Amino acid sequence: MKVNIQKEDLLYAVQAVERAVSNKNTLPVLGGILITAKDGLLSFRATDLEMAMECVINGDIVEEGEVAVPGRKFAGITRLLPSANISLASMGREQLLVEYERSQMSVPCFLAEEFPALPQPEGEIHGTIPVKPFRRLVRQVSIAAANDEVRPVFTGILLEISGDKITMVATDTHRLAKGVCAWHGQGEASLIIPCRTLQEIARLAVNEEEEITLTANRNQAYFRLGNLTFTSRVIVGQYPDYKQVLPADNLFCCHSLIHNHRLCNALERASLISRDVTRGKGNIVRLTFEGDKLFLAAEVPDEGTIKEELAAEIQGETLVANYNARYLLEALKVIDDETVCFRLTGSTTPGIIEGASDENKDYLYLVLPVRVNR
Amino acid sequence: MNSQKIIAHVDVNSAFLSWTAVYRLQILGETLDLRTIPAVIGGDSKTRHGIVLAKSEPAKAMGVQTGEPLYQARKKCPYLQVFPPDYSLYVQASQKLIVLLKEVAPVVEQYSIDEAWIDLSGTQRLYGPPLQAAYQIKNRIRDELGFTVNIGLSNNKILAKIAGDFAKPDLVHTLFPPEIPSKLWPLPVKKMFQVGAASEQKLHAMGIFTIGQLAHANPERLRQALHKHGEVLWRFANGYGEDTLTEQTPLNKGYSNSLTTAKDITNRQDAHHLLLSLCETAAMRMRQDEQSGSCVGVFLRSNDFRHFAQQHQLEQPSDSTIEIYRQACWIFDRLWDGATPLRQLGVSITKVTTTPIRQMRLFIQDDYDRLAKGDTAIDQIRRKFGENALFRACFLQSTTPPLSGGLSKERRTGVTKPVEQDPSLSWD
Repeated sequence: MKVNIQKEDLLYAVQAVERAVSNKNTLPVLGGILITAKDGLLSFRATDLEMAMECVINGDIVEEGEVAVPGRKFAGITRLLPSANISLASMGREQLLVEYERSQMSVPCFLAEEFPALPQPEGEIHGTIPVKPFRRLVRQVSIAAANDEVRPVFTGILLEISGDKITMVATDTHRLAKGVCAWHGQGEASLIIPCRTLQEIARLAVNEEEEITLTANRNQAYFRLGNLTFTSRVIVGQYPDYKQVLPADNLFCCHSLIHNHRLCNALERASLISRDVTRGKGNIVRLTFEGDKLFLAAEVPDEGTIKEELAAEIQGETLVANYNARYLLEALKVIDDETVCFRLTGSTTPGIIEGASDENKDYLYLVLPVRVNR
Repeated sequence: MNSQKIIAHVDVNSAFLSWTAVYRLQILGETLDLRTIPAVIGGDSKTRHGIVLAKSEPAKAMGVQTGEPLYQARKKCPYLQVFPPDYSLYVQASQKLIVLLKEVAPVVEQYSIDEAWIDLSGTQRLYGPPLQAAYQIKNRIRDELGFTVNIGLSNNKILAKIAGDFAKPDLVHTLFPPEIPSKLWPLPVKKMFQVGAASEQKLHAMGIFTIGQLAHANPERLRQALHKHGEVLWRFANGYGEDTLTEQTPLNKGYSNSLTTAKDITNRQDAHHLLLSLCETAAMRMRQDEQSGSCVGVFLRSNDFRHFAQQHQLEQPSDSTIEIYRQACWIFDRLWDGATPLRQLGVSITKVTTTPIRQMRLFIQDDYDRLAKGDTAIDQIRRKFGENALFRACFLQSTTPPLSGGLSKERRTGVTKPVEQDPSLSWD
């Protein structure tokens, strides 16, 4: 293989796929980025077997071929190369020569044929999603997904495809986020896609006018966005029936409208006091909804106390509930409306936070309180 | 820091051996004092607890070391007499010691079963100068309780403890700050409190061989090599330490439990049973202390003595036997290859908190309230009718005891009679 490419183009492609480079060294070649030069196109590909990313760009191909460069190292080199024309040439099967200006580097590589092949995108689900609402939705829903691998389905986002809508749901069992965006295509399905895949797509989907093409079957999901392709494992397992835990309208006993940023600021101040109350797991604040006020309080021995009073429009009964401040803050930040609506069903039962704007009309965030003194 | 404080560290010489010896002389009426012959307290080799737990001075003189396998000790000393441990006896003896210390000193802080600090500040008018007081206490213990102790005297706990370790048995040593350069600094670093083999190796690599070199080392460099522990050691080496004793036993930082089995564990079900039995005891202790923990750890030792460990955070603190057990099994299944024979399993629960909080959850079927009620009921029944009054049905056909744990069982229950043991297993 021998190609000529501008540093900026090379950097774009390498940075696009770098995040799919495996951090584990179970299979060394997965630490690589496969560069393929063929038919006038240069493809960069990386995979950790959970997710594969491919970026295809134009390049001046002198000689076709492929090479599997060590991912992190090559990305580091690319970042530091001068802004100039770069020549990449394979020397034998396990060596890449990088030439720039009057200098050169050589890097040992993996055997390209050991790099796993990408499955062909196929599946009964096929359609497109507009980038702008997709990005917004992923940002708003992913906050509720679990990091903990104990229950793998909760590390994913549930995509319910039906009619002209995709409903996305994520939960770590302490809170649940749900939103809807448009879908133009065929098929009906429920897929659990790793949260990380969707976040990577959202990160790279910078052009808000574009559309994302999704093709999926029961095992794999393929996303295409311009010159980028993402292949993702579908998480196997039964996602619990989230509709069952959404409280019926008649269960809400307290409705409140609160100024989002003021509540955020108060929660952040309270977090300074209440953080680490149970060594990183705590961060408990007490909210009291009463009259036309929302009182917020936290007290931790040796750490201090805080009491705040916020104006709020409250209808219904007086309620006191304790929450993990982080769970509230994360929701308030992604809703980013001036006013938020917080509806409660009781002091130990679910509450729902929603934005007041039209843009957020399909988004809801359900949060469960913390019980203090069992 | 109040430099006027006088802290004494009281440490029973060869505790387990001395206590067994005293019991045999005073209660059983034997004439042979184990302390005068090459003797050790050791576990049963058949159940693979065959290590030296305590040794007599004559055994020590022949090179027998605490912690070494019995067969190795026998090689050094062919006529070695081995006696089994009796933890309930030791708890009794320990309690007697603490009662006596509380008679002589206003504040007593027990550090372990055979060690305690006492605060002698302001007792000059009662007992005379500190050194004289220490001798009085040491002799009183010897005369009244029949075993000997070492007493270390200084202005803080660490120096007192180090002093108590100087030469044994039945001696009083001082290590007041002015004595540090002459008495402490020439010693090799491994004599330092809390310097183990790993720290010693790291310190040697830094060119630090004596405690004096440690004291004069750059604390920043020590921190780089040994993290926080490096700084702690530097403080100790320079004689800085806590001088306030707390009567209250400090709250546990964590709870752990391990068992070496008589036969290697080779299947998952046996391993899970053992984990359940370990979790049962650990969680009972936590509930008794009104603590919950949010980090569960599992450690394994293979039959070729390799060590494996992993820990994982619970989503929230728990004191439920079943919750902790489930997490332990999950970790175990990731940790074990399913084939390597295991000789020891352990469970630990750390990041403990007293705040009884519970984040409500969606979807998760097991109702925490129900589990908590069950645990409370089980605890109550066991407290009232004994620990063996109730056990989980899965242990019916199992060789694993329904409750496994260490020394803390006796401490926990204050049992004073010999504990009945399953012949196939013994306390680790």
